[in-house]
Amino acid sequence: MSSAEPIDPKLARTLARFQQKIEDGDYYEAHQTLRTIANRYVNSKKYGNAIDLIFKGAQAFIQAKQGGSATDLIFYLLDVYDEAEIKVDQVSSSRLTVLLNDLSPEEPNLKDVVTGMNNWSIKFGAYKFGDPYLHHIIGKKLLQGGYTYEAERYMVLGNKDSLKDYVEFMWNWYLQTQESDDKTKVRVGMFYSRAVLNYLFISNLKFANEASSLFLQKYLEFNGSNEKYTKMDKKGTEIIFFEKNSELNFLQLLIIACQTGNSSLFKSLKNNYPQISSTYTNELEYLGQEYFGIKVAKPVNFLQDMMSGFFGGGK
Amino acid sequence: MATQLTEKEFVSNFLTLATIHPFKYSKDHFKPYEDVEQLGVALPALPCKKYKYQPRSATAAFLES
Repeated sequence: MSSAEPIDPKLARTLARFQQKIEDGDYYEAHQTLRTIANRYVNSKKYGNAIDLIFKGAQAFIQAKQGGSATDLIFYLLDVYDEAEIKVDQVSSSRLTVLLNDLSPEEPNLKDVVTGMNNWSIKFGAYKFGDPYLHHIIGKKLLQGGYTYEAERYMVLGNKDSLKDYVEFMWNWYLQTQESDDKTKVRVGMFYSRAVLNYLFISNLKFANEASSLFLQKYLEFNGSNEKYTKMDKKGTEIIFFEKNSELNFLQLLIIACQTGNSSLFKSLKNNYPQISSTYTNELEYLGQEYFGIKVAKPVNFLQDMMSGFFGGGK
Repeated sequence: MATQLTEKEFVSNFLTLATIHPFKYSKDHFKPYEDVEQLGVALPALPCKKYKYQPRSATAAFLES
């Protein structure tokens, strides 16, 4: 059932009473009453009413800064979605994004809430890793809450706006290190590489290229006067060549190598930058398999092979 | 005896060789998310303090939009 449909008069009265209890600060009573009535709707399979009631209740608790009750209702909403087998669509998904947008990033249950939301979108949506729009909202909220690496995972599989946020995030992090004692330990390439590699991993050359341009543009605006660089272009394929930052050159060439699918180019790139390649050994192995069909030879374990032979395994 | 290429020469040669044949994938190529089965390898944590979200900082303003 869509939220746009007219609300059942009985439900409207329940909501009004609930709202009054919230305004009176009687949160416990409001919470219990709402759950009881929602339970009745669920038991009689009036899922649309239950969803409307729980959604509006959770919204009201968030506005009243009652995060614990709000998240309890969000989990309940997800349970009802599950029981009613609600598919991911604009209406069902936007209920969750509205709630998530309004939820405080300091909410202690935040990680569990977003995991529950994403699991629902995996179960009832088209994507193995969850809905991209939901990922966008989740990534932003997690970052606000300080869950950096968790946020990154969602941003990579988000939408076009997530791409911009991801680049901003990496760039801001780099900037923050430049203002702190961390400066000596970091290279700008560490931050640039994350967006480039993560997008290459999922075969999103479009986002790898866009992230590369956005990040390097910021870098040049910030540090262009200290960097010697040249724009090099062959038949419309261009890179910004940095005289003193081989890592940035290497990563730009890596995107081009992946676009060509030419394994000789990939190997020559690795051979020409042995030190940088060794920094990214695992990443390059993965890309080698994905884009160039280069199989990674597994180390031979003689003992395991021998034992396997004794017990008739292997062949 | 072959002379060692400078990095800039290598990049120039690389671009020339890369553009001899049409690319397998365009610059705008992407695998639809429905078809993404693997996320690659987990990148190592950065060797610096955790990123701190600063709501009042101009640098984190993008998170407010």
